[in-house]
Amino acid sequence: MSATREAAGIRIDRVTRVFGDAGITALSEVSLDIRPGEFVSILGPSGCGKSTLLRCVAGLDTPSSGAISVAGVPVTAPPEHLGIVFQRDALLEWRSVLDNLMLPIEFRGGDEAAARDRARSLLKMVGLEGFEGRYPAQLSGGMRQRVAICRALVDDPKLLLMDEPFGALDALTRDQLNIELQRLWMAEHKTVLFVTHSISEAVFLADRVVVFSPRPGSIADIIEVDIPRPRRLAVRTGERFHGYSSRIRTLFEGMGLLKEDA
Amino acid sequence: MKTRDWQGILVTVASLTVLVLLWEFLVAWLHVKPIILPPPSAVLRELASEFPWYMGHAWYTLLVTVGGFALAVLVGVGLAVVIVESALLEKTIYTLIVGLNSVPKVAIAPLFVIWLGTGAEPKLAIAFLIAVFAIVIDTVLGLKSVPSDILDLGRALRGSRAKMLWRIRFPCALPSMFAGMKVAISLALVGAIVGEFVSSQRGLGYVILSAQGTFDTARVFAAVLLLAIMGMLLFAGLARVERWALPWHASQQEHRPGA
Repeated sequence: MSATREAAGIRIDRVTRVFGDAGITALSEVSLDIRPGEFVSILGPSGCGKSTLLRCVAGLDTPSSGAISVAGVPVTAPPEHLGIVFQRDALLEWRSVLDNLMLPIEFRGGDEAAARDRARSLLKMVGLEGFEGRYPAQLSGGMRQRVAICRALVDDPKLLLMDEPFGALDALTRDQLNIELQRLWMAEHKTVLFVTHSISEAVFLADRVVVFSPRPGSIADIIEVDIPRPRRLAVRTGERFHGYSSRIRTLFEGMGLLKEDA
Repeated sequence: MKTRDWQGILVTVASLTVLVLLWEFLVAWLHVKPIILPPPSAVLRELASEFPWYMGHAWYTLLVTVGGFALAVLVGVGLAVVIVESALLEKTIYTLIVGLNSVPKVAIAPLFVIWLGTGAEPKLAIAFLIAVFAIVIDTVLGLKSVPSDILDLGRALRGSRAKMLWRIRFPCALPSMFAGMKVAISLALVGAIVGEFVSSQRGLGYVILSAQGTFDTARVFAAVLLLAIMGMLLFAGLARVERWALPWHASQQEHRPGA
């Protein structure tokens, strides 16, 4: 097992997405360049269009105007070598853990034996060794999401898209998965686009945090997170982490999203 | 089997025994005429006296039921797949099917005798027709109720239409399909009996109708008893197939160790 495919850069160029006849603008003139191998968090409140942007990059949605390219190729359909993780794990209940991991190979083709080996070692990396034959219904929420992440990585993608992957988990499991995701990312060095509404999660994981403002969704600010890796959970109580968090909180207050006094 | 299962069986058998004894006792105590309600002992005596004859008729009814059901599964699932794959067919065929489902199918049973004669064919056709709607409707429902995340995943993996159908939609629909089949198997039995009522020289439906003509109530009850047993066995058999086919399904899980 090893990640050999080169990570892809993403270019998002003045993307606007308008929904329906009523003309609700979910995204307005969003431009963003993501370097190959970079970890970018997209942070914003619910309904700010951050998931819409991710879906456009995945080729699951089409911008009303503007363009997106992945590894230099314009996105008109789901790009090749894409890994994707949703908030709900989207595991296939009728398949065992290992067979869930084999789905990308079955759909895209490839060396099944090699994929099986890689699947096993990915599961080992997230502490799910010995669970290969279990069905999803036999796993906890955190274990299920770990399986979903392994499935997204099994085919050695150039790009990993994660849409609030830990949003439905309890705080403790969420912390644990943040650590594991960082470890996986450091081992694999994929380009990651990570959508979240948690400030601390966004800062903890990312090289850059892209802060979105709502209605219409647009980029309010981009914050470079200069904290050395591997980051430990303790950095969250550190001064630098605090600086980033309060800067973001101030942005949200400016948008009228956080009001301390009535 | 686990102790709990045995306990369940024991409770069922015990309550049934009590009910049968009560029936036997009340019929004797209230001097009910056997022509109105024969005691269970008379029904069993009747059944035992001509057991092979009863079995011959039961076998015929069973074949018609299973045949009609199998036909309904084949055609029903096939129809459901094309309905889900084509927006046009959904608007036309599916609307028609849902509409036809509200027509009492029993009412058109005599038509089948005109069309198909008095052999096994009209009975098969009626059993099929009564059973097929439940299968089409539940299979369509199942094929359409795949969570949107899973469909997105399939699209992101650039899955072909065939792969989406057979590896995602179809397995996802199986629990719903089995729900439809469980309804359909009982309906197929109803269809077979209706077919035999309308015109037949064979089958338990024929036994009931001819016994009614001679006021042989014990014989009617014997045939009904066999039908009840047959219905339960068919249902239990299907439930067993379901357990085998869906070991992953929530309804089969005893507990969730990880949760």
